[in-house]
Amino acid sequence: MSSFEHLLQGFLIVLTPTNSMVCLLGVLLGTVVGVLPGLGPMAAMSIMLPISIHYGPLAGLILLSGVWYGAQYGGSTTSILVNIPGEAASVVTCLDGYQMARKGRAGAALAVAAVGSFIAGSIGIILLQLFGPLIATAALSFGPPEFLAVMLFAFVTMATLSGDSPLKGAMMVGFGALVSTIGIDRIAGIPRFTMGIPSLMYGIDLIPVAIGLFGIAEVVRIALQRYTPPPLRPVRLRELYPNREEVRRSTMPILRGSFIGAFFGMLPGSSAALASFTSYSIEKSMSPNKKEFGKGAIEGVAAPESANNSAVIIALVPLLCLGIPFSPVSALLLAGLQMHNVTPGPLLLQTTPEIFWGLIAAMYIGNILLLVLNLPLVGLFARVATMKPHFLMPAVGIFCLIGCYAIRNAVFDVLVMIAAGILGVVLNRMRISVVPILLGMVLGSLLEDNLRVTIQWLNGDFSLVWSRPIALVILMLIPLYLVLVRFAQRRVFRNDAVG
Amino acid sequence: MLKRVSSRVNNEREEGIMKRTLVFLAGLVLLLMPWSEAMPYPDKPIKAIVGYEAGSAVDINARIFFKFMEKELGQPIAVVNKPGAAGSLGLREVHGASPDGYTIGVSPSINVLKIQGLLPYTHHDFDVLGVPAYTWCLLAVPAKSPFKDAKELAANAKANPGQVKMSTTTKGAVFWMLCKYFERITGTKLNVISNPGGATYIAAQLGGGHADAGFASIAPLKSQIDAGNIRVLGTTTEKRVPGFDQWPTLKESGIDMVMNGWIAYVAPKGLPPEVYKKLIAASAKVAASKEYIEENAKTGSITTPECIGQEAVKFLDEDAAKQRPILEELGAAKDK
Repeated sequence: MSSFEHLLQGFLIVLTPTNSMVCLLGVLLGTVVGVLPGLGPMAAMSIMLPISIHYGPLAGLILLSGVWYGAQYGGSTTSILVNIPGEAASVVTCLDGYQMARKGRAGAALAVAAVGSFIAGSIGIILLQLFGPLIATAALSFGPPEFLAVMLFAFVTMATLSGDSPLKGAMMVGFGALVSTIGIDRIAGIPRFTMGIPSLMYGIDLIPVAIGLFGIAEVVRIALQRYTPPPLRPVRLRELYPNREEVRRSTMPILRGSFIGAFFGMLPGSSAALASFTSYSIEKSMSPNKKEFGKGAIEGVAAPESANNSAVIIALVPLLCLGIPFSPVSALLLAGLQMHNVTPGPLLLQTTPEIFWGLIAAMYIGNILLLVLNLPLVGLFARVATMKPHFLMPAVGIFCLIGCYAIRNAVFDVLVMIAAGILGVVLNRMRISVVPILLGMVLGSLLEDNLRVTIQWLNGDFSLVWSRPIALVILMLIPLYLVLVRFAQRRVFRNDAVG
Repeated sequence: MLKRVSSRVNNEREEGIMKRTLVFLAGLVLLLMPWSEAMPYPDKPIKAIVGYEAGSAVDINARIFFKFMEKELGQPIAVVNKPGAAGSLGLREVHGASPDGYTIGVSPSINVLKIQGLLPYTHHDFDVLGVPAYTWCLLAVPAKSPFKDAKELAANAKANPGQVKMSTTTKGAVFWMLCKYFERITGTKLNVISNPGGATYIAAQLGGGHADAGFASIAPLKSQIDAGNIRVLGTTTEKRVPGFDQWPTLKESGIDMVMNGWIAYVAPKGLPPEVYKKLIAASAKVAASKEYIEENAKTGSITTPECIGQEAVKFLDEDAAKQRPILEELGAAKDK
């Protein structure tokens, strides 16, 4: 049976009333959850888990995974409209998306995010379908040295996010990395910088800090400035969607973002966040429009939004083909499957292939449903951005508070958000970019963990690195990447000089 | 004049209304009083605080237990996840809650949190409902590994101190404790690689051949075992596990270690006697029920229906005694 025939069978299984309804419910819930800041797919999935058990393994998987990749669609909405990242993967979308909204191009940004997510999702599903087991074998061959090499590569690419002054950027990255060390160490189990306060033992979560630095700081900034009503002019439908220039500029970033996201998807941890950060950084380094990034470049929305969607789809590969959940969300899916006595893994394709193919068919359908759901809403959402700040900002503030608390039912997170908000206001006044702080928090813990595990793994024997070809190849990519960036910049310089 | 009359009439009407309301309320109170006394525990939903993220091993096992407890007690049990600090944040909240039976806590390490300095309480500061099940663990190696049984592994470790890569989780967690216990019992020194997080790293590192051995429960390893990438050397149980009796116990291989992961269910100290009795009875019934045993077997746990109430307290004391010397040796003991 060829894989195409398998896929057709998968469609037959999915196009039953129960499975279709469950698919629609999943992506709908996912979009809602994604739009609300703070409330991530994890919370929604854990509520849906007991309900999904009633429906059987395939339907349950369709429902839960629909929530997961649906949330990646919705996450960009609040980032673009009100500068509040819904979750870690939507942080970089704030940078250019919100600036586009302030220029009146919110609709274009939302539409590009939706279409980019659709294309990236489709590419991810095709890769999963055709190369799933192969990607799984590749993922399994990554040991501690390989993960460290990937993190180093990601770290080098993100040097471009430091804003105008490398010194200020480095300071903020260091600060972010320091903040990420607060709490009980994940490896040694020892409390660090907790100063005897029990709440600090969990550490400082990324989302409250992101919501505070971006969202609350923006609310305060708008509150402090004089309100001038924008010149009244009728909004034409054409303006709500991207123009030809923007479509042309988004194409390659979407494609590049899809593949970058697919690569990071097969790594353990919060792959979607890392994927979106790296994709944005690479896009910014390579782009002829580098100067526009951070002021409303469409590539800065297209690339990360595509990356986080394909990352989430490919993150299903280790779960389905290896039976190893590489992230807490996959662990939830694994639990759901195991409750039905279905063991995902290399044997899944042999013992219960209908689950694999049924899920793939459902993802194709879900992806289309999401595009159909989100595109018409673009117009509606874009008008939200034009609301008077008197009404919009208090609503935004309340959403931030509720969303922040919803992460893990802790008032402490809300306090962190407020503190981060104050810090964000101060940093904005001092014209210091806040993005490196979040970068430091995400990368700091990843680099530290992987470095320590690798050092323990090597146990003093550095010659072991030579026996790890994959790690060496990735390390070689670092100087190669720097050379490529140089070439790209020289082309820009020449173009600027000629033009 | 008319005004005064009408106001007097109004006053009377108001008084009449007031009187009727008072009588009505008094009647209501009298009617409800016997009800409120006779309303047996539980008469409203119970809150269960799980100190771990949704979908984690502790959370899944706890939800299974609470699903059956709901049926026994006749009231819904709402699970609230408050992750942080090895579950100690959730336990602090449980400790501070009022002991009326409407708050229950969960922990896989409540007896050693004080030793580790994470919580100023031990299980003696709570009313322990029981330890209804434990998750049995096993020693696994990559399929290509040259070791045929645990004895060979121990011999190799003795001959090459600090060389055998043992993949495990955070220091202080159960799987790490197993590695250290193994070191103590066999008198060897291993290269214990602690990973930041759950057993998925163990599965990935063993399945991909990046480590030499590892201790874990069956749930994270099952897929790779079935696929033939991971081989099991033995289980850490007293007797062979029913349903998986092709694997010898480590005891049979000559390594006398019996240590498994368990989950304790607790309530704030000072429960009224009837509430405590009811909870204990419900826990015992659930732990002995066939469906609970079956569901636990699916996730790799074995039920211990006798470990309820005071028996559970004894078990926790014994387990703490086992873990204490290991923690002290490694400087993790903070309560000295």
